[in-house]
Amino acid sequence: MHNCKSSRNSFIDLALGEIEPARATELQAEINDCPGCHEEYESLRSTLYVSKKALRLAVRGEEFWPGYRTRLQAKLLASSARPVESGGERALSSQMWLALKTLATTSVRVPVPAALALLLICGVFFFVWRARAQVNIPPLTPVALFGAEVKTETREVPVFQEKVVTRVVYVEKKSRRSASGADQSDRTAIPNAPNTVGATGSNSATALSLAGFKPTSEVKLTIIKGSYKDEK
Amino acid sequence: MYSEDELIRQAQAGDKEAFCLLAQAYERRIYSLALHYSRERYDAEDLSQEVWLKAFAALSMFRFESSFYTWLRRITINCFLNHRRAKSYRWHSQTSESASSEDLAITNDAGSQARVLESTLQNQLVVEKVMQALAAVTPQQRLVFLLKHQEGMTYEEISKELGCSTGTVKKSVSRTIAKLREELGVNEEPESYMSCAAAGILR
Repeated sequence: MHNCKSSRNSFIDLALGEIEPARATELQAEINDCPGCHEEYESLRSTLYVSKKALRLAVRGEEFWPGYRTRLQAKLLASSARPVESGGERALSSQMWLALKTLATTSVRVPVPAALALLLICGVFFFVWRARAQVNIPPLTPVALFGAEVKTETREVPVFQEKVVTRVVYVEKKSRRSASGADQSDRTAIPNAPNTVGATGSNSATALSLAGFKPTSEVKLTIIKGSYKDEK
Repeated sequence: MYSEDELIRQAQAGDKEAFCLLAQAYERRIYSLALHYSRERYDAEDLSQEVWLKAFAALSMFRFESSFYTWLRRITINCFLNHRRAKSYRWHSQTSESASSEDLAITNDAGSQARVLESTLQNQLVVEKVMQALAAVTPQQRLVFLLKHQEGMTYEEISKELGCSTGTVKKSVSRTIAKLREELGVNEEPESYMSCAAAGILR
């Protein structure tokens, strides 16, 4: 169905050869069938034809060009411009620049569904990454980055300490008499212990009992671990 | 006689004579574009010669990947777009002066002289109207129209060269044609216009 208004919108494109051949043939047939459109299209074509002719006519005649060439040659000779580049470096840099420019301006045609899917994947990846970042994950050490396992463990290391203990022995009279048999056995157990029980009597029990001991500074007991039985 | 490629290579090596020979092949097209863009003869000469000087300076960048004229036209377009001298002037037709004097000199009889004069005057009138129409649009619209109508470039090529959309190119062409029709009076009196055109330019 021919529509004058919509057809006329395409007249310029048709006259300038910007319409596909099939559509152009169709449009031309419409124009031929409609007197109004035909007149409009012909006037457009005439305008273009006349303007093209006029543009050609405006250009100077033959007598102009020798002088034009002379002036151009004089300007060229006067100018210091040279087309040859100063050296290979500049040519290389310009080539690199061109390559970079080409790389930067290269575009790839991607179908809309594929582009949307790609965008969606990127979005999901971003949100997952954000979610993982919010969880408190210890930072990776440089060693861990190279694949070696690092375990951190707390261990108690036994520290041996020397402890000086002063042994004070108190002897009571009653217990001394009742336990005289036991004391006798003790004296035999200690070779350096003086045999003073019979000579000093009960009053000198304290003095007798301390006589067998060395000064505290010389007695050193080292307790490593354990109960009374381990005490040396 | 050297081929174009040979001349280009010689010019790339710094041979200015070879470049002048190369320029002769395209000087009219470049000058014509410059003239219709600037709408003034002296400006057109300056502008076109500036194009040639820039082309010579940039000739080492020509890699034979496109035709020489395509490369040259790109330089021309850039040169036009950088041309900042926005002068508002009317088209002063000098065609009539030179052409009429020439034509009159080579014709002897009065009848021929009268016909030539009439034809020249008609041509002058149409050229002036076309130039006025081109003056009524913006420089970019004018350039787009010239690239389309005079150079035969496609909408897509123009949009790439000028860095604008195809829609903008179409609008520019449409706007310039509307101005041309307005100036040439096509819409008002198609019959008289046609007869005038037929008698003058469209002989």
